[in-house]
Amino acid sequence: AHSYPAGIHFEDSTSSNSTSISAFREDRIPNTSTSYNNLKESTMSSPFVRVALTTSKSATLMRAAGKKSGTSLNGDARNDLIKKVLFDAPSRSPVRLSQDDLSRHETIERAWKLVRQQQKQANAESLARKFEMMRKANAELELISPVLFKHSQTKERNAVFPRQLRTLTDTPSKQIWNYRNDKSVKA
Amino acid sequence: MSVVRRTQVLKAVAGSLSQTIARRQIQALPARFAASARSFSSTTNAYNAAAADAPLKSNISTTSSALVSSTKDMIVNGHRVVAGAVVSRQPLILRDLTPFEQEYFNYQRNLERKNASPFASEFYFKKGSIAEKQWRQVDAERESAGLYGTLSPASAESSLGQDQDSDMTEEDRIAALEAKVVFNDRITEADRKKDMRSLERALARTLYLIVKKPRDQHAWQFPQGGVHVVENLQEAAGRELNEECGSNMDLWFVGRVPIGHYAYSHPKGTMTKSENPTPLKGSKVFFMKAHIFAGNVQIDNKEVVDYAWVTKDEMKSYVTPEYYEAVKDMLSDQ
Repeated sequence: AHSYPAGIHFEDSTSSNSTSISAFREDRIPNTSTSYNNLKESTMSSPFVRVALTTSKSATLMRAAGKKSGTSLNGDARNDLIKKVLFDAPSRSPVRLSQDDLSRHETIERAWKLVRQQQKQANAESLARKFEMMRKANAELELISPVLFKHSQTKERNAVFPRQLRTLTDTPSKQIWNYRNDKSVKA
Repeated sequence: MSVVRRTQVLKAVAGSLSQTIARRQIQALPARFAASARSFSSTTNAYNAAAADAPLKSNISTTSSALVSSTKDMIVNGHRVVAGAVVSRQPLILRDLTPFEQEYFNYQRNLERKNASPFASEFYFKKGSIAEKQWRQVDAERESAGLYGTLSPASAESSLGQDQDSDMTEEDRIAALEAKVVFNDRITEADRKKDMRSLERALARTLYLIVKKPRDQHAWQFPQGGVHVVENLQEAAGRELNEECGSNMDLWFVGRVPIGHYAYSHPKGTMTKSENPTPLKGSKVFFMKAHIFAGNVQIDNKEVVDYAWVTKDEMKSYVTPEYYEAVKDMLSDQ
């Protein structure tokens, strides 16, 4: 069991975390289950298998914290637990992809960027078409009626957006549309 | 000075100080905020109520008034000036994801899970607490829903053996069911019935209002009508909508600028008005954009016999091809 001298230990642990040698971390923590290590090695082939290690790791964390009551601040084991969870909890090593998987990943990312680019392009084009329609309409209005044109180009003072403009949600609300009055629309 | 007197003085000082601070804060608001607050459509009482229930005051700027108004059509160089209204119901829900987007988001979620540190549930949830039971349930649900990626046989067995907690009481089960969030369906009744008059259809798309005139050709179009002499375009569009589609709609006009125009000539024999001496060559329609926030169309079956709320691509099957070509660029695809 190692002690936590105030202040200095934190710097040590963060610098150790940056190198991320998970084997070194596990040596420090007692009662590391060997089954976890076996699992990790066997699942390295497929990148998307979730290794179920939450319960085993958390249990060891709790047990480790329980041993340090003598050396902690104000005799509080919870501080040790917090420090352990923050600084000593073993983070997973980054996903190691094989050469094939890496090229697949890069292709997926490139495809996504391409699709996003196409969407943005389509949006920009549709906006440009709308603007062109507006411009032509206003040019025509200027020729036809100066009075109407002047009114159309004068902006409303103190214009505000209506509160009723809704933000989009994933699913609709219970009352989808407010029909204002009880008379149902017939014919 | 006695203790009692000191406290009294302190209280009085504190009271006066807080009052001055509050007053200063209120006076700090610039005048333009007060002006814009006046032009808000709802009153302060309505602010407390849901925004959807507050009636929307029309934002049409009027050129004509009680003193200066006319019902005479504006005609310039033999062309009738017409104001049309493109009334749109904006989408209410987010758009559907394409298959590629769905796959990509699943891929990213699995990658994130793989890279993330393990969740120390024993640290966050006290052992044996109700919260811990709820977390285990949620975790199991997510696992079975496949959010954690496909499992290898070894880890699948270990995860299945964990959450057989028969110690959950009947009350806990009922409480869990009640706390469960149930989402509303994105596809509504109106979608299934294909009710074209409903505003609850196609929630992820923009719907546009088109009306049917009682004639054979060029029957379906945006609501439109002649601009009167003293009116402006916004006013004319609002008036025509009121006449043709009823007053049960909460409309908000998007500015005073027309979004598009369409010029057409009248077929011989249709536009015979006895008032004007010179025959009309045609009409020029200027479209004004408006949003509908509540209510629906109410037609009187005289000027307008039918109406529909359609998306941009559905409009193709209603309006004539040349009309569609002329107006399609004004409309949103989504």
